[in-house]
Amino acid sequence: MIRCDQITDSINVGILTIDSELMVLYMNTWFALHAELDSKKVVGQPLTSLIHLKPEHIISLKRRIKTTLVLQAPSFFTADSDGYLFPMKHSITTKSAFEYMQQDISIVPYNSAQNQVTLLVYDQTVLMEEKNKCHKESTELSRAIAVANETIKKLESAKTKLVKQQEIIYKQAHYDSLTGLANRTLLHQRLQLLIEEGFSYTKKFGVLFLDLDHFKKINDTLGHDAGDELLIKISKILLLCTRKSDTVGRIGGDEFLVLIDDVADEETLMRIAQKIIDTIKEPITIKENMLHVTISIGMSLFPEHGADFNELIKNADIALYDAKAAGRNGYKLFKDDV
Amino acid sequence: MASFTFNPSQEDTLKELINVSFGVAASLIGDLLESHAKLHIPEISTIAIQDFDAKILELLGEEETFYLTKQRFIGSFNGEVIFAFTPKCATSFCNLLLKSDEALDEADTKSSILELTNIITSACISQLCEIINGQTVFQVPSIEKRDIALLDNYERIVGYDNVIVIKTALDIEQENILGHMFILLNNRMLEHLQYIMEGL
Repeated sequence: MIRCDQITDSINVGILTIDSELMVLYMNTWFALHAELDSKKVVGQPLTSLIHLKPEHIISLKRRIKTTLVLQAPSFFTADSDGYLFPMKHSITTKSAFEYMQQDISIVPYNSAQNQVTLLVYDQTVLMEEKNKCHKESTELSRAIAVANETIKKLESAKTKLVKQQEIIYKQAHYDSLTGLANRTLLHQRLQLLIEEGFSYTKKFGVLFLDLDHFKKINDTLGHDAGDELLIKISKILLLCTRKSDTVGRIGGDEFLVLIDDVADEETLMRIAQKIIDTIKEPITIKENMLHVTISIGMSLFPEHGADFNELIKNADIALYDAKAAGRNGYKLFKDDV
Repeated sequence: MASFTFNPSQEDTLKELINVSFGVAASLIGDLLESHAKLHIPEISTIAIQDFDAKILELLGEEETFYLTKQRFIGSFNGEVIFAFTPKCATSFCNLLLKSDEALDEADTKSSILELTNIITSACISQLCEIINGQTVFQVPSIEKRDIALLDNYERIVGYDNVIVIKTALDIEQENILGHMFILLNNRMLEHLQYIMEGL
């Protein structure tokens, strides 16, 4: 014969049998001990006279008892959402976040005909302590992640600013501020590169030294603004007349330099020069004035007319002087005997 | 993996059974609230468990957060019931249950929603368990508030193959409390349920 009372009095779960009016029918030792009651003296007593229950807890307990009896299925109080129903001391001996034992309670039918149910009370305080701790740690971690993300964002923003500043500095150092063309520094770098490639692959390239004819007159008659506008338009024409692989630069005033990459022969260089001259010859409108501008071009070819930057530029300049002397609006290729 | 589907006759039977359960649940809810409560005829569909999160997004995608309750039932008929409620519906029900017009705290809302879902779960699962002559024990339910944007971060539910999705629309007084019930079952349970329903 199994002695059920011995089992119910030795398990680590609170057992309380009551009716729908909260009259106590049975209380096991666990429950009595935690509620500081004598289990033998509670039978037949109203639960509310034995344990202090909050008014809202009494209402919700009665509601859940009704649910259990009607559905013949368990109802629950959970430590997670309800905390506790019975104010019992918990078994935690260290500092606890909870004043009372946190309880999961299952209300199961006992004797439906007499509206009796049994409450099974589980101590979940340790679990809730752990849960609270995890929640606290998770909140702190989330906060730390938020701070880290904010820092990363700031660093990324600073990096973007730095990259932009670097781009600006590079542009200022390598490009002409008026026309956006390559400046002397960049031209020097590109020419150096072409020379190295030329030696390595026996490749020819050309240097075109361009100078607008009578540009000073335009500046003097129409003003410097018009002169600047004309320089910008000339820059665009030069870009249109050359390939992407070529380099167009302004080296000061009305002087331009064009590096023509991979030139087959002198003829090719001359064709390009003529194309530039013909295009620039077309009327250009500046501040409602139709201008007829011409340009003179001096040319040198690598490696025939020089093997370094200075020599190639110097010889192109000499050829330019020759083109100017020949009446302007034309081109000349450097000749050793010029 | 394709989701399990009920044929039209099985679906009708399931709908009828759930409807009867809803009737019992609504009557009890009305009694507890001292008001008339009506649970609408359920809309039922099935999805594969892999599509569960996508279904939540489809149903509650416009919300930032939602309440999710979970309750397992074990025994010869076993599975898990999940409910999803918008915070607005959860608060409305809480106010009705606790007869309060004021904003109630999170614990009250959670407790009220668990009480509601426990009633619907018990009514439905007991009914299904009865028709398959099975036995089941309900475990303690749990509730949590989830963030829609972080759905991928929550732990995946394992051990089930299919989900019966049931729209639960509860009318109480002037309020319409809309929730979504998900019954998670494995293939064996579903096949058994299907077999039994075929014979009804």
